[in-house]
Amino acid sequence: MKKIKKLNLINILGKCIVSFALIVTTLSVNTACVFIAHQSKLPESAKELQKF
Amino acid sequence: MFITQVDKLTKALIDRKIITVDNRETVNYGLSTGVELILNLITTLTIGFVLNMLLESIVFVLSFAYIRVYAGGYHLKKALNCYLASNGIVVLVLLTVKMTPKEYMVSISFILLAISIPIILKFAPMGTTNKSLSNYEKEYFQKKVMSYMIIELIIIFILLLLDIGILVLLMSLGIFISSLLITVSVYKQEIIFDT
Repeated sequence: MKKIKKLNLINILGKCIVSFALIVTTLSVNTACVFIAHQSKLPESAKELQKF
Repeated sequence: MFITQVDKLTKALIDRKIITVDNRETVNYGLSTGVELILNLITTLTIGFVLNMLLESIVFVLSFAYIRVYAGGYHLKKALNCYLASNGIVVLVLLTVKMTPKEYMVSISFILLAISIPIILKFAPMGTTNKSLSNYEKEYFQKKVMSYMIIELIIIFILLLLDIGILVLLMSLGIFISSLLITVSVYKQEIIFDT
């Protein structure tokens, strides 16, 4: 039971991390540049997230 | 900056079937950029706190970011250099504001705005080698820059009426640094014409 709970927690944490990553990528795709961080090469697959 | 760690984390997410292999690059990009953004923001706030100028550092970063995200401009090639330069600029700006006599703040702000507004209007938005802009994107971002600039100028005007010179100077410095990075980008000929 404890092991299942631990696995669920890891999965929830993983999903949170992915959501965070997708938010940052979406923001980056929809702006001209990342304002205060390094601008690394934008992957082609990220362009699907463009909103305009 | 954290490529190896981010790579390991993404691999673990694929192993746990939370993401697919197709999403790997997108998640990798978001994670590395996100970590750098958070690290930069924390450092900026720490600098503000240490210099006893926390509110000032927030106002500067907001006014700078507001224009910079749509105007684009120069980016350093290495993440570590970008981190050091960004925070170096924050220190310089905060110290400049701290040392500027109150009676000169508004006049200096006017000079900074008179220099930076024409540059932004003429050259923004600017792509970089790592993120080139298509003609459509340029048109879209140009409209955004214009509207955001008008909003910032209205806020500056309100702050002038309220006689809060320090915030006027900080916002003007935010716009000025944006225009400075655009100028460097123009100088370095970093414009990549997509399409």
